[in-house]
Order: sequence, then C-alpha cells, then structure tokens
Amino acid sequence: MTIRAIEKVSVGQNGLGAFILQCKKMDIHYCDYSGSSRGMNAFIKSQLSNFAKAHPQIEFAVSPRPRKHPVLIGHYINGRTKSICVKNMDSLQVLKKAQLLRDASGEKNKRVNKPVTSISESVRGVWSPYHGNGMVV
Amino acid sequence: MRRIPRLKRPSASGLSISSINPFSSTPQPRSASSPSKPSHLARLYSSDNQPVPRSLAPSPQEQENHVAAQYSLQDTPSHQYHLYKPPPPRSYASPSDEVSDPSYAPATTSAGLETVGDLAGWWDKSEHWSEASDFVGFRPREKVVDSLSIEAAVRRAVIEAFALQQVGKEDILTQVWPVGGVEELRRVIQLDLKSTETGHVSLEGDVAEVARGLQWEASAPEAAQTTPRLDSTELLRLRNAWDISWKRVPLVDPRIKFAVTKRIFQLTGQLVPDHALSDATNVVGLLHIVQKPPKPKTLTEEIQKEGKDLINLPNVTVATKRVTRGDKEQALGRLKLMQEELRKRDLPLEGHGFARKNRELAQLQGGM
Repeated sequence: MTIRAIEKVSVGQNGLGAFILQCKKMDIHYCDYSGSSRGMNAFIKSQLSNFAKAHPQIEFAVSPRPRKHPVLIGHYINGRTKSICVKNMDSLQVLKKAQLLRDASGEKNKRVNKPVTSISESVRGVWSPYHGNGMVV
Repeated sequence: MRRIPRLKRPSASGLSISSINPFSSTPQPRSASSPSKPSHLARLYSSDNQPVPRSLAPSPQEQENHVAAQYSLQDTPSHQYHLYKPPPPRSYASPSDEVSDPSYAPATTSAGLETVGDLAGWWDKSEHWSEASDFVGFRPREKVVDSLSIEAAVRRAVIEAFALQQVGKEDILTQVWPVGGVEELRRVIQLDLKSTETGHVSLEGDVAEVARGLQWEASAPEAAQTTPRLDSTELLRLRNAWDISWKRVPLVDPRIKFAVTKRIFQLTGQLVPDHALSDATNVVGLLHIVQKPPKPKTLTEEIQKEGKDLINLPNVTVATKRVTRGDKEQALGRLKLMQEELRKRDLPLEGHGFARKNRELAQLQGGM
C-alpha cells in the first residue's frame, strides 16, 4: 500500500476568483544632488503619480537618501523584500523596474526548466521502498 | 568668529584697523631691527614673524612713519576702540627673587595654583564687538524675489544710468551709488522714460536732481541697511502709469549695461550671471533674467510646488528628509517601548546617529 498524503481541501490559486497583488509597499529612494538619480527624479516628478493612481493597493513611500544611488524596494505579503538599484537609468527604465517589482511574487527566483507545471496531485502517488511487493533484482 | 570692520566707503584704501594687532591687548611698537610691514601687505602676510621680501620692505622713512602712527594710536585709544572692546591689560607677577614675603617658596608642581586665564574666546564673544564692526556688503541682506519690486528696481537702475549719461557724468556710471530711501525711489521711478523704435531714449523730468543724488559723498551719513520698498498696490498703480516703451530701452552700451546690472545687484541682490549678459540687449531681456523664479533646491520642494496630484494621493507619502531607523520605529509605535526599556537600564537615549562616524578622520583634519 502506498502512502497517501493528506488530502488538501483547497489549493491557493491567486487570480482564480480574486487576485491579491503580492507587492504591498514600494520604497522609492533618491538623491537630490547626484547625477545617478536624474532619471529617478524625473520618474517621481512625471510618472509616479499615474503609476500610484493605477495601483491603490500598493503603498508608495518616497524619501531622499543623500549621497546614495537611487533604489526601488518592493515589500511583499510573504514578508520578503526585493530591491533594485536604478542608478543612471532614465525615467522609462525606472518605470519598467517598478512594474517588475509590482508583478513579482516576492518568492526567491527559481529555475523553471519543465515545460509544464501543475498544482494537481500526481495520480501515481509518492513512491516508497517499504511498501508494495518489492522487486527481485 | 572673525569680524571684518565696517567699510566706511567701498573705495577707501587706508583704514586705521589695518594697523591694529588683534592678538595683543595694547598696540606695541615694533623693534627697528625687524622690518615692519606696510599696511598694503597686511593681507598678504598674516604672521608677524614672517619675513617680508627685501624688495617689498619699507624704507626707513616709512618705518618711522609707521611707528609714529602706532604711537599716535596708542595715545588716542578711543579712536580704535570704537570697533571692539579690548581685553583687560596684562599684569605681571614679580620675579621669585624679588618677592618680599620671606615665607614664599616657588611651587614645583601646578597642583593647587590659581588659574589666571588667557585671551581664549575673548574675540569670539559678540559683546566685545560693537555694531560698527559688522561687515556691510554691497549686496543687500535679503534677496528681493517679488516680481513687481524687481521691475521697479530695474526701472530705477535704467533711469539712473541714463540720467547720468544725459547730464554728462559718465564717469560715475562705474562707481558705487548711494541706496537712498523710499522718497528717492518714488521720485526716480516716476520719471518719464521712453524709447523709440530706432533705439533713442528720452528721459524727462528732474534728471539733474537724480544724477546729483547718485554722487557718493564720503561725509554723508551712512546709508540705510535695508533697501527701500514700496507696497504692491502702490507699485501696481505706478506701473500702470509707465509708458510701455520703456521696456524696449536698449542696453547695448556696455557701460550702461554694467551700471544697470550693478545697481540691480545692489538694490535687489539679483546677480545677472555672466553667460546671460549677452541676452540682456534691452530691458525686456534683462527683466526676463532677473524675474525668473529661483530653482527649487530639492525634489520635495519642487513636488510641493508643482506635483500636488502626487502628494494628494492617499497611498503615497513623501518625506522631506531621510527616513531613519528611528522614524520607522516611531511609525510602528515601537520607539516609546524601546525608550522605556533603555531608561530602565540607564542607557543613553540619544537615538540614531549619536555615535559619530569616522572620528579618526575628523581628528586628522584638526577636529576634536
């Protein structure tokens, strides 16, 4: 007899019925004086208002960080953070990075090398060497 | 705190303060063997012991005059003491072998001896300096940023420059002019200034009186520290009466342009940058430069001025200063608990940044 895992009542599938954005907060740091923040400052001045208006579920905290390169830090509901240095980028590139942080799940990056992924349980069950009839070598 | 004495007249060359040595309580005559410095070298050679090059050393006759001048200062101390209060005169203890008290024995250690004190901090205290010793610059203390006031100052400068040209006193154009009071301002800007398409400028009114008022008199009482201002309603009323052609007045003559920009700097503190001088070919161009609002210094200032929609969003917070660890704790409500625990353990409540970074570097650079 094979071991059977405890049957799940439900499987979390974000987006099926309701979608909860995983990014809950975004820190936006810039410097007033250094040239590497030029694109970031332009992003804050021109594009951040529209981006923030489109994502009311994300909290945006804009604060200066003098003498440092500009950084975007995303905070996720799983407790993790993801930060991206956007030094010397123009405002459109910074916007792309903000969209990347918005779309990220907050999980560590995993290598996906299988063509199909599924959340369904395997019909064969989990193999165990102590069960079954055994195999004569 | 270093003090620079008040300049009585910007072009004054010889000032009595140049011969005052601030490190001694009374002026001491120098010995004839060491070459004393002439007053025009006082700024180049800061140390008394530094040798003066032979070519620059004063002649014996000059030295005599210099010493005589110092003695004359010593005779009339009130002449120099109107700028500062000198420290109390030095007192000297009698040498140990001349003490009359038979029980006197010279000390071998400093323990228990009375501290006499020195000049440390004497010149840094403001009460030892009179008001007259404050530095008075050419630029006004407060920069004028109001557009109407700047326009009035530009009109005044243009009228004054052309008035001097009209009466033939062009040598005064490059000199310093007295600031005057509100009455002078009102009188000058009400003069009728017109220009034609060909660039001819006509100035009507009491031009000679305006030109006379621009003559700097050394014996005249000192000019007011604040530049005269008119209120906006009066300025608006006056501006409506001005002929519109005054803004076409050409500023191609470099002497006129220099006089006008110098006067604007003196009245408003608005300095026309060198690279923009070529754009100021007439009054409109000049007004465009000096009336330009100052650039915001920080991004938050700019956002507060122009990006109101960003600030008004409920999910956006904009901090004007760096958000520290303490600020984050405070936002969470954890700071009070931490302070309470620190108090219980008698630990310092200095918070973030109480420990200075890189103390060694500060010490190497001469700090404590």
